[in-house]
Amino acid sequence: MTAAVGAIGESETMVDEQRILLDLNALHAGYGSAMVLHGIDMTVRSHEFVGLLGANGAGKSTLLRAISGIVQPRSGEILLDGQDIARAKPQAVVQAGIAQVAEGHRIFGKLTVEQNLRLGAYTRRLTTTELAHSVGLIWELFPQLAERPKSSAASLSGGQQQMLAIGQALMAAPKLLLLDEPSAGLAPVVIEQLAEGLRELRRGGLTILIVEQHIPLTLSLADRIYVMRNGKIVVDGIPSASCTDAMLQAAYI
Amino acid sequence: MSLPIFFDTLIEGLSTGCIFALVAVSINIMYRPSRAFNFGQGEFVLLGGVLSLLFLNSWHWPWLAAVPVLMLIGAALGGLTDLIAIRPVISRSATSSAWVITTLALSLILDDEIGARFTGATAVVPVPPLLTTTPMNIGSAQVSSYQIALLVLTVLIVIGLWFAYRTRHGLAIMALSEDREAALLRGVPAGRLNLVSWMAGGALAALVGVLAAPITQVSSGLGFELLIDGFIAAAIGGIGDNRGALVGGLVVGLAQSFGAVVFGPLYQDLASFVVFLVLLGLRPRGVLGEARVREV
Repeated sequence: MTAAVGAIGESETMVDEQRILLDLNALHAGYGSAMVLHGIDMTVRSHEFVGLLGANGAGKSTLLRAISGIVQPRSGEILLDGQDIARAKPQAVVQAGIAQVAEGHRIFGKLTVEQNLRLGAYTRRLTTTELAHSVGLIWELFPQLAERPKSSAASLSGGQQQMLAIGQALMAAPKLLLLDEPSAGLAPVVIEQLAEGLRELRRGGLTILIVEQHIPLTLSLADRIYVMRNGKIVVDGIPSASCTDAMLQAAYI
Repeated sequence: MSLPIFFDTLIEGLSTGCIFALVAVSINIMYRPSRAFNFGQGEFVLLGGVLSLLFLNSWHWPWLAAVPVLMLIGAALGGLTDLIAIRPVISRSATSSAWVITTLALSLILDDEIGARFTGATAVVPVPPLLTTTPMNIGSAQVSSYQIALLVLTVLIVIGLWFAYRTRHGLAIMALSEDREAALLRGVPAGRLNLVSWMAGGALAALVGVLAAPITQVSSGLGFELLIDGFIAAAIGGIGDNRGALVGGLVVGLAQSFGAVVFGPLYQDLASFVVFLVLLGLRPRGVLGEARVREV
């Protein structure tokens, strides 16, 4: 493999790429007395693109909400760069470097596109110049948004709102981006634009964990796939032609 | 109605309308991050008014020294209400309405305490320097400089808040108001911003009490009246909308003053309710409120 040949720089990158960024250990979480996650073990390495598949009700969203601190786990660990954030409040999780794009592109319709992006950087306390620079990066990534910075976010199309939601999350300069079903409700053409945007982010070195029901999209983007069923991980592997059927069966049948 | 009486009623209505508008604004400030109303808001205003009697009349403090202190007391009260009556409720469930009970309980306690200690003494309360409640003649109308200053201050407060809600923290509060969970995911500290908002709402309520004292009767029923009138003003303008609260407050003030003159003083409260129902019937989301779209 290429890593064996090359300068010290390359092997350092290799080590960095193998560094575990997110580590979930025996995670149990739920709502009230109803447990949804029954002992989740999962890792995401730095610069990886990990996909999480599963049917409705498998617990995928609950998992992301537990990572972000919206749901407090009953037991288990959520380690970010070795630090346990399982009991951290949502603000602390964002400050630690995890930003989530929630299900249903939940941007703030009453605010403008630009205000939505500025809000994404809330935890960073940027100066006006730094803020403008960060917003500029989002304009580059999503030119459609750059055309209408002062429009109310509610007036955007579904696809544009999804882009805005991703842009908002990126404004927090996260180490890890969580995406909860970003393709939901979008037309195929838009999904392809979205995929291209995500590939762009991937090339830039961002670590991404995507939860999806859109299997082909996930298989085309992810380095590794987990499949969840009834609150447990049932499959864990690298997407390939032979794996797909097994994954589908495990998740949906 | 003769012209002088028309103008007198108009001025009177606008003045009390400013008071209602500011009460509505203070309600809105607290509502935005928490989606909760303070049933004790009227008592906060009453307390401001009653304490101003104490500071200004009994202790002879200068107006400009007393007001900041009274606002600080209001802020402390607002903050305390958040910590005792709101935060424990919301932390259990963001959609719980138990704050109705907790803030109502607080308002009853406050009302009792204030009623027990301060009898309905009608005293002449001093006004800020350079202003007077003595009317001047402007054309057919009789306006006092105090009433003009009150209107100007009310408008300035509404404009000032508009700018405040466009700052970094202001946008965060607007986000909390629209979609709490989405705001949390962006790292917005809901608890802290709620506390600050309830302190600001409390401070404004105390200020309203001080401002109202020279032009209203500070009596024990005033707390409840202001709560109702303030709430009606906020609802007419669309809950959470401060420009709407300004319009709503002036509408309620005018409805009451004209209602009293046209139908008699006993009907003045009825007039504001009728206007309220008519306006809400025409535009359920409030005069300036926005339609809330729910995706099904």
